[in-house]
Amino acid sequence: MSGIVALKAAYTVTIVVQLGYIWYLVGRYRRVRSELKDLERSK
Amino acid sequence: MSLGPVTISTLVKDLRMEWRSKDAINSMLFFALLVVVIFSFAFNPTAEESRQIAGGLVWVAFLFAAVVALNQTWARELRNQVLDAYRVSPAPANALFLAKVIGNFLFVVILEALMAPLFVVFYQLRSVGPVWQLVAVALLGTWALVVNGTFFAALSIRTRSREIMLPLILFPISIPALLAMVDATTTILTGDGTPDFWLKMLLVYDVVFTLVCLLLFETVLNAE
Amino acid sequence: MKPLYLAFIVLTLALLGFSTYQALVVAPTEQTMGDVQRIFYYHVPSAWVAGVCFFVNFLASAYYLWKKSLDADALAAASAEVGVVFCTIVLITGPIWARPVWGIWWTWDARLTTTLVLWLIYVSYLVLRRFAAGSQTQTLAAALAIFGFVDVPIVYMSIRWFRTQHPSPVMGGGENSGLDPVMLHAFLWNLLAFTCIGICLIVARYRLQRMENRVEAAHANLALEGGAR
Repeated sequence: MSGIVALKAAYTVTIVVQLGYIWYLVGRYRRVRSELKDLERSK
Repeated sequence: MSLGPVTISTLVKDLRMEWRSKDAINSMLFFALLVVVIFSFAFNPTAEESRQIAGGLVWVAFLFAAVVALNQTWARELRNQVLDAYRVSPAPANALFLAKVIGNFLFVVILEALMAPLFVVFYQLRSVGPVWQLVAVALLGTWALVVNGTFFAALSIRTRSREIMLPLILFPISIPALLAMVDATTTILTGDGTPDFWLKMLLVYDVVFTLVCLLLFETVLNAE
Repeated sequence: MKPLYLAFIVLTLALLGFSTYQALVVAPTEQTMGDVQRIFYYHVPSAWVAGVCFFVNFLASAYYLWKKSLDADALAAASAEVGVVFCTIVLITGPIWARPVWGIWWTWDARLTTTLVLWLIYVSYLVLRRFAAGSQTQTLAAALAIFGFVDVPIVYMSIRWFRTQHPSPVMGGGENSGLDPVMLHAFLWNLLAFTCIGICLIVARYRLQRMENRVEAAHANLALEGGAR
């Protein structure tokens, strides 16, 4: 594994992991929002 | 109701019940024996090699056996709603905790004493360093595992998958203690250097975590 | 999304862009390792942010045990999760750096091993949070957080000692590698950028936790009302 490939891989992994986490948060947000809406409706 | 007498009476009660049924000690012994036998299929060491690897093998076997003991620490209390009674009573929570820790400590130390000759036989172990140091490592190390293990066993009784939860939260925290135990044992067996630092570190670990456990146990017991 | 938060996100992205430019273009190439060394500008700031997150988790957990504040617990949950994310980045970029430089993916050197143990401790914390039942979750998790954080210096000391007894290659250029001023400059920009990312993520996760707490409380109320009828 050459130096430049490793460099690109490391930077890509960093960004991807962070984006992945943000994606996970967005998914949970959606679910909570819809649950809150259901609660509002059932009141 | 003060700490000492309640601790001792709880401990005596636990030991007496265990002596009658011998549940824990039997299952621990058998488990440790199984681990030893299975490991001996994987490793077929010479006497010299065995001194290098015995430290790790021995402590892995004892660790698994300790987890068997720890998992059933609170089982009896749970079955009979004893914990609720304890919460309501004026007895100090730490008395219950200390009694459990000392009980577990005794069980595991007895197990280690019984298993040690087996290890000597199966792996042709002969220690280069003094045996009293091995005993010191065993006592300090066992306390390290048992004090945190008893606390985490109390933490995990209110979780799903409680039997897997205990080792899952216990092992990472115990890593420095395990490292100390294994490396100290190897150092003593091979005679390569002194285990002084490890013994001191285990002592520090024991003191620090016993204090933390005692500070937090009441809070955990009352968590509802 | 609140405008202040949105502005902060934009600022963070700009900072990250600038700091990455610093890391890849402005900073000079290192003599012995070459361009691979630039991983340093992402690797070390991530480790720093993870450490800060775990410290925040410790403080929030201690506060929760003291004052039983649900908000403190929400902060504990958020900081632990974000800390694990950054810790994961450290554990992946470390080996990627090591492979071309030393030819091995992993070495049990003091810093990388401590990071691994840290990761294990806080993942176990997250698992406990997931598996604990309802109302005791906060107390149990807070207790584990205290244990975990108290353990950190002990872990570091024990692995350091182990490594002096059984030496092996040290990653990241050793304890005393000096830093060229331009490199230091680039490093500090990345440190700032990563800290801001950490703050953004913690705030997001904190808000999420509070919303989920509200939903759970509302469900509990409904159940109570339903029982009372």
